Amino acid sequence: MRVEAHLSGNLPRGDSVFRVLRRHSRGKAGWEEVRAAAEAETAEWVRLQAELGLRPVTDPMLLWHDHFRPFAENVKGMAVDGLRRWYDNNLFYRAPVVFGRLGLGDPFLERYLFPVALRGLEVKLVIPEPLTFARLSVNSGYTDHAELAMDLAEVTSAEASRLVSRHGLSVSLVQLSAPELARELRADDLELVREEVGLFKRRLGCKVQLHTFFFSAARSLRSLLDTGVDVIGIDLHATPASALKGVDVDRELAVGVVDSRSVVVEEPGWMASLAERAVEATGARAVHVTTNTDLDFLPAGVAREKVRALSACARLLRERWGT
Amino acid sequence: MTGGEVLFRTQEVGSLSRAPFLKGSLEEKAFQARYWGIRLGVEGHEELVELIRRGAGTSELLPWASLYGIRFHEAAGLDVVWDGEQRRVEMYEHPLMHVENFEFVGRVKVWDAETYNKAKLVGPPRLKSSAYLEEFLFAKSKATKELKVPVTGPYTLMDWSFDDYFARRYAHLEDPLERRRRSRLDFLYSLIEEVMRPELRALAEAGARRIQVDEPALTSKPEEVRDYVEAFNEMVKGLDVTLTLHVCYSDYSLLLPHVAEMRIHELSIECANRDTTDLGLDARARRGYSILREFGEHDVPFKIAPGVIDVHTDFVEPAELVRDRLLYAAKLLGDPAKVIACNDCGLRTRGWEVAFEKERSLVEGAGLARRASS
Repeated sequence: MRVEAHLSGNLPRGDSVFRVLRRHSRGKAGWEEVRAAAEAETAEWVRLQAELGLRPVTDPMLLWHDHFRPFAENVKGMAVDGLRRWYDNNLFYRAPVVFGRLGLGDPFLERYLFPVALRGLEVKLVIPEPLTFARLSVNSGYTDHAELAMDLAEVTSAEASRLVSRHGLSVSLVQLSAPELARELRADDLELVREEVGLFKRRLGCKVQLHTFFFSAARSLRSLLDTGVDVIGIDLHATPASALKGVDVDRELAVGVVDSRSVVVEEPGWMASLAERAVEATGARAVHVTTNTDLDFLPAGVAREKVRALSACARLLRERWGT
Repeated sequence: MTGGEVLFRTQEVGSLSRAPFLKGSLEEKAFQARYWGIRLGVEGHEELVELIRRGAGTSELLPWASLYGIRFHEAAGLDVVWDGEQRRVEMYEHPLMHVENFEFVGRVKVWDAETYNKAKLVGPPRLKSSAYLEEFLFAKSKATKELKVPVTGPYTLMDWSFDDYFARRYAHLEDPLERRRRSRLDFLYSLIEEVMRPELRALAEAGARRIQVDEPALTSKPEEVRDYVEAFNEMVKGLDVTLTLHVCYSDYSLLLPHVAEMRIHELSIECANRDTTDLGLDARARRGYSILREFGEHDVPFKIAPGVIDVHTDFVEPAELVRDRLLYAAKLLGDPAKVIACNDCGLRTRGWEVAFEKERSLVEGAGLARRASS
């Protein structure tokens, strides 16, 4: 059994980035100062992942205020609106507003990430899943919601592809963050998800992970297998492993064994057993151990401990399975 | 009118930004102390000016900040006042500093560049000392108007904290949802029993007649609202005070139908933030108040304090706009006696000049609504 370990979203900002962002929001620091602080913390996060054997590594996305912001601020036909609660958390995002046909201008993701820190490493990109993006947007630009979702797939995949080619990144996996696919997946959504997965695969030439979180994936898992996705991500802090019994996952399973919303650092052995139960229940071909969602629900120090525990969990699983 | 109470009673929601004489150079502080002392009619303000000139520290100045906060609301003409929470760091950190077994673990993001210092519970919560009693006793000795004490509610304290104690109690359960449900219920009831009831009892015994429980997190997990209503009723059992529940920036329809069962006298919610600034009593102009129709249909047994002042803008609502918002709220609830005039939330985000003008407008607008209703 192949075991991989990687992270699944935004990582927490440290004190220096928090401080400079505060100063920037009051007009007391320039954007270059913010970038410099974020670049230093990004390098630390990337170094930690590499040292712990996490692969592929992710950019910590320290300048992403929320999942949608870089796109909402830069894609033509979109803007940002007021604050909305991010599911059931004490965390808020600015609602993306769609007011016209979507399109791309100049490349922009590189302003929110630090590609230079990722050079020479195997990389995972994290992008909002288009249907989730569409549902959480305020739409006055499209009469057909499915068309909006497909145009979001078009602009997000194209921008991700520009980032990769402009900076020569070696991307092996793209994660589409998809809480909506676990919350409510309707029959007519499936074709759309299939198309968006196909688009990302073609554009980026790598594996695609649909990563669900906050909700039990038990209901939608079977359907999601029918989308051509390579890796299915489920939140084991919202999905009882027993609820997966009988679902034949004939591909790779990413299990969110680290709870990014809890300060309790999970025992590696406990997480390994949890992953084993999920694999036994589904017959998955390979397992990726990961965080259930963004670690930026936690202070940076606690998040670092969780990353270490995740790495130890992967080691244990490799020992148990002799891989 | 009911019980001889004035129609459209005016009240604040809690916080003001720090008193202007607490920041800046010595000269600036002294200037602000004199300027606001004269403007608000604060007795003995020259004594404060002297204190500042002598280089007094913040702890010496805080009682003065509290006094200025009280006079601020009184001078604006509000019927029910508080000290603007001048002694509190903020609504979450302040009460938890008075509770055993909460440890602050660091800053986490709330949105954009905004953060808060989040705590984790590491053992059973126990009240070390009251977070509110001293400030209430001071306010009681100074206020010439009725007081309402704002306290942070147990649900918000729980929801905004990490749990490194009760969660361990249920770690053996396989179902993660069941683990979470049970540990959160234990957390909530423990806070109620060990922290909230002693706090509320102490305030009532010291003479507090109005207490506002702030629960901005209440609708974040809609499936827990029903449990909260039961817990709240348990918390306030036997208390002889007028209780206000304040919830803001939320989907209030999620409170229904359970909130109708709550032992509260008033529900304070934010509405102005969702409204237009056009005058008028029609549904388009008054779109921020549409939720009141649902409360009216449920015939809730308490009064409602819909915010008629937006605390997130420097725009000072004209009295006529305040009037129209109140009259429209009365129309949807079917009775002007059910409507209280107040802000969306605390005015902490605004400077004192703007906040004062907003409060004066609130009072003037309530007067206009009163005349239009009588």
